[in-house]
Amino acid sequence: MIRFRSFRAALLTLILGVVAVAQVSTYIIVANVNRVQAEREIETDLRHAVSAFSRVNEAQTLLLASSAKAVASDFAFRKLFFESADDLRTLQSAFASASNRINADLNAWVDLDGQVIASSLPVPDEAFMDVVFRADESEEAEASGYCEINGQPYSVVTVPIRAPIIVGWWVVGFRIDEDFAGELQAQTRVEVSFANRSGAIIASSLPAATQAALETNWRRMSTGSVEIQNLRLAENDYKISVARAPLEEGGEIAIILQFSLDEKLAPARRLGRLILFVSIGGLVVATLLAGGFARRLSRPVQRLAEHTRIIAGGDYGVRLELKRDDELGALARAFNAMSRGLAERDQVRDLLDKNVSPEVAAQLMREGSALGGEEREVSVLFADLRGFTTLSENLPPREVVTLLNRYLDRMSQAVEAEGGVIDKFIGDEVMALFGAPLAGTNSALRAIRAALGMRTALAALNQELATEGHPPLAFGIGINTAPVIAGNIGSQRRLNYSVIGDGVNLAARLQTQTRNPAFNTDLIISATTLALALADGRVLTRDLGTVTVKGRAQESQIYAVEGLE
Amino acid sequence: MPFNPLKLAALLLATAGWLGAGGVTVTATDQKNEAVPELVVWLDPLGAPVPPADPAELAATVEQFNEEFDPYTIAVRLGTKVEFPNRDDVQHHVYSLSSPARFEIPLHGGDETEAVVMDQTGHVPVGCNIHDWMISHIIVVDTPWFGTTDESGRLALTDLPAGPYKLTAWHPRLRKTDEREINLVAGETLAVPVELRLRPDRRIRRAPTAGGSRY
Ligand SMILES: [Cu+2]
Repeated sequence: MIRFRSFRAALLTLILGVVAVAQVSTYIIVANVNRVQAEREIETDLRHAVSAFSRVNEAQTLLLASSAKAVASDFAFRKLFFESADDLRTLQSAFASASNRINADLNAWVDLDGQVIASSLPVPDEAFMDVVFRADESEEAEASGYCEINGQPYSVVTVPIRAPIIVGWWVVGFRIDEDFAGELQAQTRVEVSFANRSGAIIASSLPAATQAALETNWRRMSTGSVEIQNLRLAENDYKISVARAPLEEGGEIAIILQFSLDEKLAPARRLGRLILFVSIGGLVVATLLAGGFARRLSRPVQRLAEHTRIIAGGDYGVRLELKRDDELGALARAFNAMSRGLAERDQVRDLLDKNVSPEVAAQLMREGSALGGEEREVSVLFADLRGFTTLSENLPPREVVTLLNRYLDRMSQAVEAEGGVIDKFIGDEVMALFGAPLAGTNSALRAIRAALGMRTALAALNQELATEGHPPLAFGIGINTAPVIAGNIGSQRRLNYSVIGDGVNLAARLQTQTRNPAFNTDLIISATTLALALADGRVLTRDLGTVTVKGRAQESQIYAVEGLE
Repeated sequence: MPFNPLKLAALLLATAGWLGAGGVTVTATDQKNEAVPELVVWLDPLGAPVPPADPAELAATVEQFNEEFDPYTIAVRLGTKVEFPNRDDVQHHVYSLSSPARFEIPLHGGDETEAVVMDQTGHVPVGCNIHDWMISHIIVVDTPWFGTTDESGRLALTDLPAGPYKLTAWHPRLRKTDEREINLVAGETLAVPVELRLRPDRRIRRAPTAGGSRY
C-alpha cells in the first residue's frame, strides 16, 4: 500500500488512476471487439470466397461447355466426326481446328468407351474416363471435374458430341492459374492460392515472399474439423481456409484462401491509435483539472492544519479567513468559533485554576460561572501555623515565602488525599472543605483523617527543617460540621467559591481553642463532627468539656482527637 | 394346274406352321416398376430359317410433324423403304450418319416425301440438322417378328412357329440391348416380363421458342 504524504497527491493519484483505468479498459475492450469483429468478417469472407470459387469455376466451365456444344453441333463437324471415325489422323487434324474455335486451355475428344481420341495436351488414354462416365450417366449428359497435367491443375467439363445420338465426348478445360487466382481475388478481396496434388503452390494472388512462406507452411495445417486456421506468413497473421477438389486421376488439389488479419485490422488499429491519442489528451486534461481541484481542496486544508497548530500553541487570537461557502468554509467558521470559545474558556480556566481548587474549577467549568448559592452540610477545617512569625523574622523574605509554600503544599496534599478541597489560604492559615462543592459521604470522618494526615506531614516537614537547621513548626486545627451556604462569593470581577455561615465561624473558633495549653492538643472538633464521624468509623477522643466561644451565646462541647482506631 | 410338289411342300409347311403357331407377350418395366413404352422388341428364330419377306410389306414411314419425328422408335425389316414425309410448314434437314444407313435429305419443305431403303441391319439414329432436339431411332432387323411396346409397356406378337428364339429389346435409354432366349410352344402365348434398367433420358430439350401446338 502506497502511503501518500499529502492529501493532494492522493487525490490526484486517485482521479488519474480512475481516468486511466477507464481509458485503458475502453481501449482494450474496443481493441478486442474489433479483433473479434475482424475475425468474424474474415471467416464470412473466406466462406464467401469458397462459394465464389465454385461460382467462377462454374461460370467458366459453363462458357467452355456452351462453346464446345455450339461447335460440336455444326453439321459439317458432325459429319466429319462420324465419317472419319476410323481415320484418326483426319480426326486429329480436324480436332486441332475445332479446338481453335474455343478459347480453352485444354481440349480433348473421347470416344464412347472413354478412350482419348485426340488431345491438345499429352494425357493418358484413360485420363477422362471417369468424367465421361459421369456425363454419360447424367440427364444433361455433362459432367465437370479437375485433372492435373504435368503438375498443372485444370478445371474440366465434358459435353456430348451428338449425331444426333451421342457419338463421342468433348472435354474442355481451363488452367487453374495466376489469372484465375487474380480474378477470384479481385471478386472476393480474399487472397487465393492453388496447390497441386503434390502440395506445391502452382498459382497464387499472394506476393512472392508470402507465397513461398505459404508453400512451406500450409501442408502442416491440420486437416479436418477446424475449418479456419491461423497461420503466420512473412510477418503477417493470416486466417486460412482450405477447400479441396478431387482430381479425376486420384488425389486432390487444394484451394487455399488467405485473409490477412493485419489488413483487416488496419482500420481498427487506426481507430485504436485515435482512441489512444484521445486517451492521452484526456489524461493530460484530467491531470490539470485534478491538480487544480486538489490544490483548491488541499490549500484550505493546509491552512486549517496551520491554524490548528497556532491554536495548539495557545494563540487563540488568530482568525482563519476562508471565503468559501462549502464544507471547508463551514469548517473554517467552526474553527473560528472554536478558537473564540477556547480563548474565553482559557481565560476563565486561568482565573479559576489559580483561585480555586481543581474540583471547584472543574465544577465551575461544567456548570458555568454562575454558581449560585446553596445550602450544604459541610465539614470545615481551619489550620493555623504557629511560631512562623518568629521563624520568618530571621529569614530573608524569599526564603520565608518558599518555606511557607512548602508547608502549604504539604497541607494541601494531606487535604486533597482525603477528598477535601482547599477553600483558601488566609496568610499562613488553611481553610479546607469536605462535602463541598461536591457533595460527598462521611465528610466529618474524612476531615478528621485529613487533620491526622496533616499532623504526620508536619512531623515529616519538621524533620526536614531540623536537618536544614530550622526550628520546628507547629499548628492548631479546628473542625466543625454544619449546614452552610456555598456559592461563588465576590465581586463581578473577582469571584471566589466559598462557604459562609455560623458553622464556619465555629470551626475557626475551635482552632483558636488549641492555643489553650490546658487542652494540650492541636486538633479540636465539635460534637456534631464527632457524632457524624462516629457514624462512619471509630475515633479516639478526649472530652474537653464545654467552652463558650466568641460570638456564640450557648456553650459548645468540644473534643480533642487522639487518633483513629 | 399341274402338280408342283414344291408348292405342296410349301403349303404343307405353311399349314404345319399355322397349326403349330405360338405367341409371346412382352411386358416391359423399368427399375421404378413403371411401364416402358417405345421399347423395340424383335425375335430371331434359333436354328430355323427366317421366312422370306413379302415385298409389299417392306414399307414404313417416319413423319416430321410439329417439329418432331413420329414415331420416336421404330423397327423395320431389312430392305424396308422408309419414307420421311414432312407434314410441317417449316423445312427439315433429315440425316443419319450411322453405318447401317448413311443418308442426308437436305432441307425440304411441306409434303415432299423422301425415302431411304434400309439395306443393313442395325441402329439408324435419324436427326434433323436444323432442329437439334428432333431424333428418331430406326432399328433394322432381319426377322418378320418385331414391334414396339405401347403406353402400358406391352407388345404382343402372334402366329410364330413353335421353337426357340432370341428375344432382343432395344431402347435409347438402355446401355446395351437386353437379350434372352425363349421357347415358344404351339397354341400357347408366352408371357415375357422384361425388367430394364433405364439410364437418364439424355434427349436435347426442345427450344422453348420453337412453336408447336403440342406444347
Ligand atoms: Cu427439322
